[in-house]
Amino acid sequence: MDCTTKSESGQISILVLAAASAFLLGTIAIGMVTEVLITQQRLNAKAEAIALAGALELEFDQEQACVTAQEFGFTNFGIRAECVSDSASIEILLSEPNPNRIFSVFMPNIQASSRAGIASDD
Amino acid sequence: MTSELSVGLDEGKHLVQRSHGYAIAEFALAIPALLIVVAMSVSLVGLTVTQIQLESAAALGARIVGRGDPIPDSFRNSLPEGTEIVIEPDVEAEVVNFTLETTKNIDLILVPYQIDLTASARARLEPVFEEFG
Repeated sequence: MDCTTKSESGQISILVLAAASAFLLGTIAIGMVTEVLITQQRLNAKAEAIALAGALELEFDQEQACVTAQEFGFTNFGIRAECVSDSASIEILLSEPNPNRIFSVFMPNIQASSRAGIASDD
Repeated sequence: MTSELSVGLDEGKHLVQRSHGYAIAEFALAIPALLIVVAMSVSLVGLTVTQIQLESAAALGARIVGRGDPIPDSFRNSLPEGTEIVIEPDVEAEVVNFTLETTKNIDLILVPYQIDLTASARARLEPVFEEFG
């Protein structure tokens, strides 16, 4: 029997299996990145909403601006916000645990910050 | 005896050599499976892009409505086709919930499938001062 003859049987199957696995792994990776991106996007929107809520109070009572913003954040989003305000602006910092198990090893928390000020009269 | 064996071996070798075209036939059978996987991947990426788009639009829409402005046509036109806008103002709490709902068709090769995507955002209702005179 000729032992040196090479059969092509199965070569393409292995190639296709490898390509399909690569595509599936790539899709899973994209899904995980998207999960983190969407969480970041939602947190940005929350930070923005909380900062705007605080900025509305800034014009009337500067000392209460942070309290109002934090109350708004806790009541509507169930989140505690770090707040810094001065006479013209308010800054909000939010932090949430990373929902993705794999990425949470490298990035345990997702953070978002937003700054808002008193609207001008123009 | 030697000649009989050689005849048998020659015949077998001839059969093995014929398997050179097997790869093409195997590739022809396997390529639809690969295409299905690629189509699924592309559809899922499309879904994620739409979801990100909806999240961004919901935050923007909540801010527009919270300010007391009407939703501009440019905003509606920027949404994916068939997107439904749900606005739920809560006057007592002085907040507005802005929700976007859409249905995304995933046209796999033989199996049409629909997935509902939703994004919502919340904003504080800003006081609207009416101009006098």
